Amino acid sequence: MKYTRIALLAAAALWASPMIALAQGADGATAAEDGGDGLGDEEPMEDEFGAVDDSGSGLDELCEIDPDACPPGNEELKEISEKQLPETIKAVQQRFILKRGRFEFMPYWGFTFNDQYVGHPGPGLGINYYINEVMAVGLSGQYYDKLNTEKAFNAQVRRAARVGVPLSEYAWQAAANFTYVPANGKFAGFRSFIFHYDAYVVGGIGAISTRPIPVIDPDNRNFTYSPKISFNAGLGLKIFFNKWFAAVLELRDYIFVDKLENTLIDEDNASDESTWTDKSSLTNNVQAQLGISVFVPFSFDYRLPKAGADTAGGAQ
Amino acid sequence: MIHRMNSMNFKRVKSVLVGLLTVAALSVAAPDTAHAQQIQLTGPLAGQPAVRKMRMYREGRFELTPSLSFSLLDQYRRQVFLGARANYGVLDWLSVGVWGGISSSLIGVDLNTSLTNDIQDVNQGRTCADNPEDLECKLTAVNLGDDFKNQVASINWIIAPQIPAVPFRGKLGLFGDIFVDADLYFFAGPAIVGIDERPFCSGTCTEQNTTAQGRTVVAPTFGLGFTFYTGRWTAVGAEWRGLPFKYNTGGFDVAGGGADEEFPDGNISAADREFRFNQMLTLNFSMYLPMDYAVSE
Repeated sequence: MKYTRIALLAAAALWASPMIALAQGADGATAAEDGGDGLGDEEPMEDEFGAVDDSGSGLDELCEIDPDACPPGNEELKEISEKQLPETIKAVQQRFILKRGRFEFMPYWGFTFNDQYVGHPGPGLGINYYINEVMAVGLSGQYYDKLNTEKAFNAQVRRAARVGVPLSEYAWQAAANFTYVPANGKFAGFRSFIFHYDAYVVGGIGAISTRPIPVIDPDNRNFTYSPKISFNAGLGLKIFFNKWFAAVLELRDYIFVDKLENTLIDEDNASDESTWTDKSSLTNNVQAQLGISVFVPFSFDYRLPKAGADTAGGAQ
Repeated sequence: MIHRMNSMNFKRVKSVLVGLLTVAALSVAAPDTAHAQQIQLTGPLAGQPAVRKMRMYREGRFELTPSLSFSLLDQYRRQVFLGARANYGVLDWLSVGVWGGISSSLIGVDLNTSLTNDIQDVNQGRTCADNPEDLECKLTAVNLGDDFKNQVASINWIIAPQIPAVPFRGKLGLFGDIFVDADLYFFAGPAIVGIDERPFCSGTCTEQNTTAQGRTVVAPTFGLGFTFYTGRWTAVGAEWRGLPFKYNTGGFDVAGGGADEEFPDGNISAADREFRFNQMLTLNFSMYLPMDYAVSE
């Protein structure tokens, strides 16, 4: 018990030292701890978190807080607290969540972000496998059929200006994706609780099934869905509630060449399907995707224990 | 048949909802393994606050932020706003300030959507001035002037006194090598908006009253954004802003007649103004004075 306390104080002192140096030479070396990865204290951010000045061990300040842990003449504690520190201290000492070798299941709901004519909401699912801590490969798919919503605005334009705007609706899309997670961090909420997040970029290739909505000649034209090759790219933000569950907000652009309804009617061959479409259009279907993320397996092992605190039960 | 399909859909939706609720319940209720190794602090750090020696980037400092905003989901005309934000940090988490901007339309650069260009092309092809008895010209006489682009509404300028609050602040590590302080803020306030909009007309709407004219609108505005502090007195950021209000974006007669006034009445009136949830994305570069910040206990 005594050694645990000494070790704890020593580790805290080691952690506190750079803060003293970076706090404009100020005193007050109590390290904040948030149960996470060492990002809890603000001051080490200064000067890129890096430079460590070992001009003080912080032991005096710690002994002021807990005099019982500092009996007079305790050279062992003094020696430990004055131990040389490494040149740099990483801002993220221990990742809040380890992803390597885990699967991620990501159900979401997609909202149209850039189509003022037809909404394409729908449920989707992404499945990723993390090949290391920052890279994943996966599959995703989304259902749209029956959920496309044509806006009243289209009818207003047709009625007011006598101009028909070719419209499309979607049935489904599926893609193989690659995800890279370059950024992670943590936020303190109201200075009372802390949550972790990461930001990622994602890109992939797949297919999207679309068809024109008959606007120009609905009496004769009845389109069927057909798949088109689709590329996608996006950005996402993941907020972790625990080590296997997170909320996800993603902005993804699905890019494909769509076939649009012919705005002209061949009066002599109005029922000839080959006259129903004419030009192709490069289409960007930008979606906001709001969902959850579940990592499986639920648990993981840290390679090294977290420094500076007891870990009851050890890492599992 | 329809009833049967609806019933099947309902069952599917119900199954999905039950599944989602189960996952949500598990996530909240189930003790995950990570909890078994949560840090148990027993020493002097026990009970200490989550954040000490926090850099107070805003309290007691003035912030001046040039910004560039881009409108989203525009029907007829996009806008790019050159703007600026000025804030004073009453507290580190609460400021008072104002944001304002002038649009590309105000400086004479109209960024029309493809729909506007399509209507313009079709309308010009009709040459209604020379063929007033043409059926298409008769049917669109109230709605389209000779130059459609002139009747499309524009948001010209915005001034928005606002109160930003910063409930979340923390850090961001990029590529495991670059680390910056960051915060997530929310803001709300009233906005005074200068727009150009087609003026009212009744009876025969002539070319003269198809040209958009100025009007001032007061509307709520709100949003959220991220700030990334690149130094003691500089930061970059991005924010989303909502600015809902009613106006007649295309200058069309779409309402005012028939049941519930949901059909055209041959006039351009207040009934033709429709609610639009205007949105924009903004990129910011912030500068703070004084140039150094205080540090909390």
